[in-house]
Amino acid sequence: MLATGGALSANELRAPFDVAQPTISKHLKVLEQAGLVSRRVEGRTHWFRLEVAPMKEAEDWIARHERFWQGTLKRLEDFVQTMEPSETDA
Amino acid sequence: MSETERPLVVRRTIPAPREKLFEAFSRRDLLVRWFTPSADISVEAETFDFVPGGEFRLRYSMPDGRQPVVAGSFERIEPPALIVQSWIWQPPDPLENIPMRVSFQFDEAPGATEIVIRHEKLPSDAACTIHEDGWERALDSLERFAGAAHVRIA
Repeated sequence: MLATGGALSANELRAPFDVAQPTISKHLKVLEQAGLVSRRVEGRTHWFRLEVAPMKEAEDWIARHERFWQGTLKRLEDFVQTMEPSETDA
Repeated sequence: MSETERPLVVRRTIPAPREKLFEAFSRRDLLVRWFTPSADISVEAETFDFVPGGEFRLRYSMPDGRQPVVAGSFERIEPPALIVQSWIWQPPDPLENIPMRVSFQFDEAPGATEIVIRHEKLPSDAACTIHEDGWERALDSLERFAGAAHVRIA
């Protein structure tokens, strides 16, 4: 719902679930504290919006480090060819 | 997505004895000459105490002027077979303060050494203590929201 619908109120978010308002509020609080949703308060209505960046970031760490380590190992291979035999005796 | 993510694994077989490769990792003066992902990125070892429990702090210099810093400590050192170290990018960084662990394993191969790098993200204290229900519950409910959204638009 948050993924497709932009900002939604706590009541709208509760509608598809057979759960009490305090339960949904608790879940939203967890998501908010984890940085996965943001909250905007207008009067008595709390609007929630999905924060995509942190989840995207969590997926991106693998891509970032895969390139990082592949490049680093290539550099190591080139480097050891230049290492003098004496350097390995130290 | 869950708290126990599979590690990233990168391998490369290099035609050199593992003692020589291990040394390239263990000596500060050698490490700074190659331990970057490309030739236009340089690295400076601000701290490099290569003993079990010893700390390291590496500052990379990127062509665009950014200087990402990674720090951590050596958790296991078993010459010439294994190095395990914590790996934490320092602020400012998109991955800042996320505890990670990297292990370098040196396996003998015919006339060569296979280096296996395992890189994993560790459960962070922040995520574990964020709520009594924990991170898993947060993700469960997120999944349910996503599922509900799917049903609704179908």
